[in-house]
Formats: sequence, structure tokens, C-alpha cells
Amino acid sequence: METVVYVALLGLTTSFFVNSFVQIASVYSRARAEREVLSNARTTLEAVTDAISSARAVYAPTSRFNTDAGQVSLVTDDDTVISGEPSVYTDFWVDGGRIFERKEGGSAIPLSASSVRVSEFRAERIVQALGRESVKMTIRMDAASDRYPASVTLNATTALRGNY
Amino acid sequence: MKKDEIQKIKDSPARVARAGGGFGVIEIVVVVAVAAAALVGFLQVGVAALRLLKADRSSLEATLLAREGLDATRSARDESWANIASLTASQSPSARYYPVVQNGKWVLAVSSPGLINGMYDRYIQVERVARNGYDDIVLSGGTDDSGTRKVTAHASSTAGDVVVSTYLTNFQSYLTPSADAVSVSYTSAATDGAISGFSFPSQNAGDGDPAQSFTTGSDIRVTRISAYMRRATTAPSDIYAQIRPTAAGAVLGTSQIVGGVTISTTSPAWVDFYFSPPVSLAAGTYTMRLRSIPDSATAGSGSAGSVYWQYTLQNPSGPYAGGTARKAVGYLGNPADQGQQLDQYDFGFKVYASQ
Repeated sequence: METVVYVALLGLTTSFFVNSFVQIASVYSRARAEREVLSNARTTLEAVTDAISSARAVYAPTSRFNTDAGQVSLVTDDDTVISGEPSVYTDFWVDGGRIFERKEGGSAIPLSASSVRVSEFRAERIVQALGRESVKMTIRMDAASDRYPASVTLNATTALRGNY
Repeated sequence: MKKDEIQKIKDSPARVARAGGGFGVIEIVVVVAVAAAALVGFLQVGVAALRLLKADRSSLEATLLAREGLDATRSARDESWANIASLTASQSPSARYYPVVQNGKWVLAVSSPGLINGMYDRYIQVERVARNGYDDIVLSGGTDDSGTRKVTAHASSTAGDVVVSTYLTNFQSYLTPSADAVSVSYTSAATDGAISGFSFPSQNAGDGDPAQSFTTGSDIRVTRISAYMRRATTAPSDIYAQIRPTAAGAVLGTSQIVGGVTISTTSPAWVDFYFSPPVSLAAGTYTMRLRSIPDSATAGSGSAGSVYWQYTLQNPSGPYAGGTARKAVGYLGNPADQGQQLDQYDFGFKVYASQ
């Protein structure tokens, strides 16, 4: 009789501990997914809006506006370029669920981590008046793994002000 | 009993355990309880961290929306100080204005567009600003500064209300703004509807685009084209304008895209299509052609309508002498198709040129 009671207690205890470990692992994985999504969206949006605010103009031929898989091409004055070329072209686009940046002559640099998936990178060009232009960005990021869902949608409108 | 048998009984595990106090049930229960408490503690910390991260996410989304509200107000200010000053004409600081993109630009609407992302109610409030004799802003007394307003943006949800504020000034009154003016126009279009048998954007049928030709008597640099239009359906496709020598000629300039859902639905309005850089045109006749995304000239593209480009029908020829309207340009994906010329029709338009 004692043996049966001990075995039952052992089973219950083991079950409790295993379940607790699983719960803890799940909660921490979800928290990590939330943190990944949040930090990636924040830093990516900052990088894009900083570039927009310092740009002189939007380069329309290679930009794709009003679509969820958009591309923003910017023309920025840059007096520090050794070649003497006063303008630098910068592209931001989404490919394979990641946001990339490429400056003229450079290689593509991923701005978002592989642990998140960019499901919306939407740019809307708003011309308020002659010479008064801004770009409205909407970035939505989801956790790459469907097991621990996390999602964030960030909006920002940034005026093109050139280097000032 | 023999001596070695007595020694064997003394050395038995049960006897040794009893003699030494043993590792009994009480100890096991205590250890399990401590471990369980630790586990529950870890779990609670994890849950709290998750809750904080979700709160952080909501806070970030709301903060960015509120900041965008300020940027929208700043854009409205950049267009004209009257856009801001007029909000406080009745001097009601508690009045709410909702930044929305309308006709391709930011406006401060008096009615709510609904919750953003299904969560956030965003609005701004504008207050007058007073200054003392040292030009410092004072909360009470002082003299009203007609060139400064305090703008407070709110983004509220069930999680709370995020508030950011700034002061906007009419500094541009001291600058020489870039200017343009109407060079060519037809502004008397008053028929609110679709031209018979033609809808734009095409309902996924590839029916083509509308166009209007115009004539400029001198060389100009076109900064924008305004089309007088109204949204007739809930979510028409986004549209943009092109300038061409003829309806199917080479593209001389392409405007920014105007969101179809942002076009006024209650009454016709002038919708601006800006060209950056401006398009240089020598004296002569050209055509403005509206396009859509997805393409209305391609059957099955997913284009959806419709938008009414206001027009006038007059016999025996249209009221604008410098050009005519066209419909179904590029019909069924044929880039050379100039569409059907409508000699008796003219759409409402303005062509602006830089000064």
C-alpha cells in the first residue's frame, strides 16, 4: 500500500515539474519573440525614418509606393563623398521577409533579423505642397516562428528636410 | 545467536537509516515544496516580463501614432498657416481634430475616421499661446501670439492615453516659398458621374484609362496637375497621373500616387498630382492621363473602382477649346491604343507651372 502511495506521489510530482518546465520555456520563448519583434521593428523604423529625414528627394523610378512590399529610394546630399559625387542614393526594400538597405556602391545590408518576418513594408508619398514632401511608413513585423506568435505595427510620417 | 549474525543485523540499511536520522518523507516534501515554489516564481517572472513587453509594444505603437499626429499637423502647417490658425478661430481647446490623409495630403478632420489598427483613437488639440514682455511663453496672462500654437497629440487605447505636445510657429511667413500658379485649366466641370459605359478605375476588366488633352501657349514647367474628382465606391484602386505628348505617347512625367481611399467621397474636390522634378513642356498640346494601381488597362489585374472625374458634356464640341477628353486609353493592355476621343466632353483640370 505504501509503495502505491509513493509511486502516485512521485508521478504527480514529476508531472508537476515537467509541466512547469514546459510552461516556463513557453513563456520565456514568447517573451523572447515579443522582444525580438519589438526591437527589430523599432530599430528598422528608426533607420528608415532617419534616412528619409536627411534625404533631399525621393527617387521615384526605383521606388514602389502604396504596396505592402514597398521600396523607398532616396537621394541624399553628401559632401563627404570622396569621389566628389554630391548625391548618394539609398534604397530600402523588403525581400524574403527581411528589410534591406543598400547605399550607392555598397552591398545590401539586412536591417531586420532572421528571427522576425516583415509582413508589411508600406511607404506612402505625401506631397503637402510644392516642395513640402513626406513619406508615411508602416512597418508590420511578426515572429518568424508561428509557434510563438508576436506582432507589432509601427507608423511614422517623416518629412524630407535634407541635411539640416 | 552467533556473533556474526548479530553484526549483520546491526549493519542492515534500515537499522543504519533509523540510527542516523535517515532521509525521510518530511525532507522530500520540503525539497519538493521549495523547488515548486522556485518554479512558480520563475513562471511568474516570465509572465510578468511578457506582460511588460506587451505593454511596451502598445506604448511604442501609441507613441509613434501620437508623434505622427504632430508630424501631420506640422505638414498641414507647412502647406498653410491658415490650416492651423483656423482650428482655434472659435477658441475651443477641448475640440478634437483627427489627422487623416485626404486627397493625398494630411488634413485635420473634425470627425473621427475610426480606430487605427482597431485599437488607437488618435486626435490632436490646439491651444492659443500667450507671451510676456520678454517673449517668453506664459501659462496665464500675457499677450496672444497669433503666430504660435501649442499642439497636443493623443493616442488612446484601453491600455492608456499617450500624450505628446509641441509648439508650432508660423516661421515660414518670413521665407519666400516655392510658388506655382495655374497655367492652363478647365474648372467648370459639374457633372458628377461616370461617362456612359466607362468606369475608372476599371472593375478588373481592362477597360483602360481616362485622359484629357490641353494646350499651353508658352514653355512651362509643370509642378502639378489637379483633377476635380470624387470617390464613388468604398475602396477604389490608388491612382496617379502621367503627362504624355498624346494619350498613348511616351511618358514625360509621372506624379506621386494618391491613395484611392483618401479621395473625398461626399463632394468633388481638387486632387493634386505633383511632379517631382517638374516636367518641362514646350508650347503645344499634351495629354494628362490617369492611371491606377493595379493597372486599369490590364484585364484581371485586380483594379477596382470607381472614381468620378467631373466633366462637362456640351454640343457640338466640349467647352474647353484647347483639348478634349478621352476614355478607354490602353484598352485591354494595348499600349498604342489612344482610346476613344470624346469631342463633346471635357474633364475638370488645372495645370500648375512653377513661377
